[in-house]
Amino acid sequence: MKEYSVVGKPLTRVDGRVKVTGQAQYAGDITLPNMLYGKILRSPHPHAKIVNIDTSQAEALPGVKAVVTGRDTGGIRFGFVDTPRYPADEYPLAIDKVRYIGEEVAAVAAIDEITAAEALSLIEVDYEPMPAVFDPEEALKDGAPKVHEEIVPTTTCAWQDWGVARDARPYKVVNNICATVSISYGDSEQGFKESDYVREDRFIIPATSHTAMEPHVALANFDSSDKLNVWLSHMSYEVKRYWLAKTLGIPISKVRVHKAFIGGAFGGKINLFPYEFLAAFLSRKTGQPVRIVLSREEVFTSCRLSHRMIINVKTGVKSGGTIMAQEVNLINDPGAYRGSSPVVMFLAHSFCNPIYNIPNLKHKGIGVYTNKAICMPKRGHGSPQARFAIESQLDMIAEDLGIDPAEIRLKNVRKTGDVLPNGDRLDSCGLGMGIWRVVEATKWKQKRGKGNNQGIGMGLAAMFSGAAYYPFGSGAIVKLNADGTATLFTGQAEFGQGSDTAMSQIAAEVLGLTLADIVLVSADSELCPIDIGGFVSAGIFVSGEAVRRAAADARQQLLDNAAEALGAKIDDLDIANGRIYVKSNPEKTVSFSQIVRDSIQKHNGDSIIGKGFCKPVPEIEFYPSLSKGTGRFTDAYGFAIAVAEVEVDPETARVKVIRITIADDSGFSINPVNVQGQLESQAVMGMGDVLFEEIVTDEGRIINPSFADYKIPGVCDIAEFRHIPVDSIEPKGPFGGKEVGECSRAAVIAAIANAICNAIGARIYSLPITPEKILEALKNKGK
Amino acid sequence: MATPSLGYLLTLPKFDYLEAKTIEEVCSWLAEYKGKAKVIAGGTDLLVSMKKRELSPQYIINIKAIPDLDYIHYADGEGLSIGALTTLQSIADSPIIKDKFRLLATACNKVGTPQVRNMGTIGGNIGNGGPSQDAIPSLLVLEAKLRLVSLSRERIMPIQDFFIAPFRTALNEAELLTEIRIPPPPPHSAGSYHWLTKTTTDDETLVGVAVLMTADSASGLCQDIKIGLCSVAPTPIRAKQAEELLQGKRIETSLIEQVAELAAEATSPRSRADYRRQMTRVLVKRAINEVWQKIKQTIT
Amino acid sequence: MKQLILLTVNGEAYEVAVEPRMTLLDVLRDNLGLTGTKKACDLGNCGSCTVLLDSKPVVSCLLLAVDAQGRDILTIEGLAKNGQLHPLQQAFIDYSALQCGFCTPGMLLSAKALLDSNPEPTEDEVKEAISGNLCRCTGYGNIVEAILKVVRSKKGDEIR
Repeated sequence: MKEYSVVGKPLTRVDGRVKVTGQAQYAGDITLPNMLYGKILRSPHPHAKIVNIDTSQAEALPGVKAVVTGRDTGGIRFGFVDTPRYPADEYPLAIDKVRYIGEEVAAVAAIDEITAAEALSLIEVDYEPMPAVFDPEEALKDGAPKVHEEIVPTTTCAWQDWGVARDARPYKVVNNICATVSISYGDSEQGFKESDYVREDRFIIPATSHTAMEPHVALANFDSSDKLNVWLSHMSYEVKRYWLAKTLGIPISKVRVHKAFIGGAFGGKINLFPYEFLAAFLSRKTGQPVRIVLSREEVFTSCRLSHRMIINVKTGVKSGGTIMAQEVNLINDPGAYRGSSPVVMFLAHSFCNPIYNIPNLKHKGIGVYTNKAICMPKRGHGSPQARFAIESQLDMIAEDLGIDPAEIRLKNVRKTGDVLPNGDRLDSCGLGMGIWRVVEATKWKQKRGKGNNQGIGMGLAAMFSGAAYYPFGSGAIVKLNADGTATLFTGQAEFGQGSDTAMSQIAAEVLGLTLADIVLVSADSELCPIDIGGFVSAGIFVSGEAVRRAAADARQQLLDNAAEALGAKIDDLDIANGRIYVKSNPEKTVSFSQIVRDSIQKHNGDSIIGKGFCKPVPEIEFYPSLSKGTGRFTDAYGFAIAVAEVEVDPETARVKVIRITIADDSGFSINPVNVQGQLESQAVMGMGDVLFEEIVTDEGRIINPSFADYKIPGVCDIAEFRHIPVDSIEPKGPFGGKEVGECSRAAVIAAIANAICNAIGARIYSLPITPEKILEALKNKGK
Repeated sequence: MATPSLGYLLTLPKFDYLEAKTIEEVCSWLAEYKGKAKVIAGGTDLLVSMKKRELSPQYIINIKAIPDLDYIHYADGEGLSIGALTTLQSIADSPIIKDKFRLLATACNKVGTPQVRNMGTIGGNIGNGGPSQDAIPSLLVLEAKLRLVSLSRERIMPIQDFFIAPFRTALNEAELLTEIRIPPPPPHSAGSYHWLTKTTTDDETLVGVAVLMTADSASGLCQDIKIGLCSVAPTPIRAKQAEELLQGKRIETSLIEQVAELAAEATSPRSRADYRRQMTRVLVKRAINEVWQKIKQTIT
Repeated sequence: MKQLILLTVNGEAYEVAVEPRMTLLDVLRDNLGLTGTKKACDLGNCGSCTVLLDSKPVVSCLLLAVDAQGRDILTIEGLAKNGQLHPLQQAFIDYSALQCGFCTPGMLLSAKALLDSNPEPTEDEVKEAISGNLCRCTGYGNIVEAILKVVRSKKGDEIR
């Protein structure tokens, strides 16, 4: 293993000091002169016609500067998915009807929050409630209330704008279906025929909330040059710029996303939200900056949830445990708008693809509109749901056949070099090794079947390292400064995952500098190049690689100049500690600052600027087919094997998670302590998914939209955590690195569920696993 | 379960703010502003309700400036007296309460979070009148008495009689709870507070059980037992039938099971009813076993 | 109707015109520009708005500004002295006890209140002290460890 000076080291984060002192400015901390405060009026009905909106009293209230409704924003639509087949269906403000409780109906901008709130109470909306539908299987039936009529595109769709040569076409909504997916390879019918044992099971996964600690916020200001300046809590400024430009009808070059600190995202801050559009729209209307900060309740009800799914899995195996065939049928309930439905249904397959070698497979999904809050990506986006179902069933199959669950997995996992049915190749795959390591580390064999109300369970997950999604690539710029430091420009948005630090480490390593020598300019769209963002697991693999290439470009120029200055051959040069030296004669050195000065003065003022760029999959232009699953998807997969150990109180059915062990293959760790942080984070988040978290609705109303009623794990809930890195180098990643931020959550969920079921000797088919479900399962055991 | 349509904003409605310097002041304001005024001490319950627009009092009367309402006194023979403005954290940390009435310290330490306990007062906790207040089962089994003061009179009410319906107490409109009194612990007695939360460790209580038992370890006889429950009925309650079953009897496993069963039958939970009932049985059993061990271990 | 109140924050006196319905959290952030204290839930459930009131941690979103007069208020901005980080702040950086940083100010103040009143807490006591501070990013392990490291270094067991 090569020894590095900066990467691979557990260096403290570059933004630590500003955060611990309270100096870090998040978007809600920024005040601009003459700033107005915006608030949003939301629908109290799950499904209703808007007959009339009277804003006159609100407009007349002193201190109110603007009031807007759907007629002011009419016709514009946006969405995470906006393709020729699936035109965007979301509105910044409802036009003729509302489709879920919490949907945006009107917005005001006023001189302070109190006035804005009062203005909302003066807006009179005439609703005509309509029958609503809340259950996706009910919504599929003939005669069910129609959530949407035909969706007719009013503009080009996003993918057209991004280069796909196909026109957007109207989408006819039949039986409330918003999207379908049908992926197959091999012959699953034949595969089942050849199986010795076939099982079919049904699993239900509810919606959960991301609960990033920072509530959603947007500050927008049209400045004197008609440029829209925004400060957002987001995961990719290119996506925000594109949608703001499109919905406001301004050139994208007139949209600047400024750097702001971001208080967590977990997938919940990706696409354009109505409140962001409204902040910009109100700023344009009033000529003043407008800030909209959502309350925690608004975040719960309107800032999207993770996808609700009903998953049917049928798997056929040989008596020795080899999987012959699998059929997955899922119903996805994304709520009143499509959200990311076609994507999550596709990913529910694609994230499973690299794990087990299943020769015959069918994966079908239907997305169904219901009158409930909208669903979008959350850390793993489809993987947590799918792994819960598939890993739970695999444990049941193992038990039915008398095979150890770790053994059955070892029998079926993919290996390095495997080529997946869609053409992706696993150049690094630590699954097998990972299982060996956790089995050893956790003393799996001794603990399995120990009884005494204790259980141990395993879960596997995989995650991509970036895929083709707007803007399809990342760039980076490295500028050498006369004093021997270097300025790095990268568009990566830091929301806690450590990208600011990792990118700086990469640049420093290549340039032979220390972390302190890197001046970072990040996440400002005016100053930084395009960036693929932080929501497609491409931070290290794509943006990190772009940074490496930019630094390498600068390094090459440095060496070219130094070769001349030192009269040496380039291959005889090396860089360390801000100096370039001749390897065969280390006394001969020259400093960076000298080189930069020389370069400027002796070479036409060239101050040495390096550029680099990278895209997720070099060979392909656009996204693979979401509905058919064909085509290259990603260039590297991360893997995680989680083992959970639990104890279940037989009287109270309370679960105590004793230990969570994660073996991860995330390639080379640019910053090991940040990698560990991502894993520990997912260990706790996964525990929340299994034991505590569920968005509960009653007739479409979310009845637990607060931290009092929707509980995330607190410090007293945490288990012992152990991390086992699996040695792995991903050849295509910077220094061998690849994805780590969203793979393990799914593995942990599956592992804890399997551990509980191992402890109680019964299976639970839905999340969260509550004490009541455990008692019910125990009661039904042996029936 | 209709949420007011703007409750999602979580902004406070307008109100007039008054600061009372004496008990007379607050009582006369309460009388004057009949039903339109609310008293604020810790504010952790009141302000939450107001932000959610469940309550919009026209007047808020801050009583924290009233002197001599924040104290914990204990005197042998007289027992414990706690001022209504004493914070829950003060009670949880109090050496004398941890020594003589440990279950009350435990219960108060369970409420909310450290921050909420530093703000919330015992008077507010009792006055809230909700079915799930952790401190109440302990106060029930300790047979606490409440001092209620108005302009015209002062009355002492057993806490038993204080809770009428969910969030409705026997406190009159113009009355203020000023003190809680608890008799000295009987000899050969022990108490404990057991609970289960709804989900996470620090979540609200799903079932809360307080037990105070007086027993003779030599004879194994239970002389007296009191069982207090919260979160399993419209108000916190005593499981009197269950208590009577054990009083005067020899403490044995099968009897404890029956007592626990009777206690479970005394509950009338509104949600998660089966599980709450079952857990009442489990926790009452565990609590009685624990206090019995404590009594047996005490050297007399 | 606004009234003039006097607040003592981080040792400084501030005169502010406020309505009674304004919380201390809102006044700190919007009137005094001390935005280090964060609003994450506004209902007292998450602890991100924690400040120390007469050395005790409270949730400032449930404290009326008018009610905070005459008390000593410490916010995150008052933790470092003369540019020198408090040992807890340094430990949080050194032991990776933060990621997005939004819960961090409240977390630090709860930890400081603990160590000021109980210089040698057990691990359970540390957990209890920060049980009112929610974190979604770190998984808490490093936070507990960072606080314990400060405890041990003060005891002289470990110099870091």
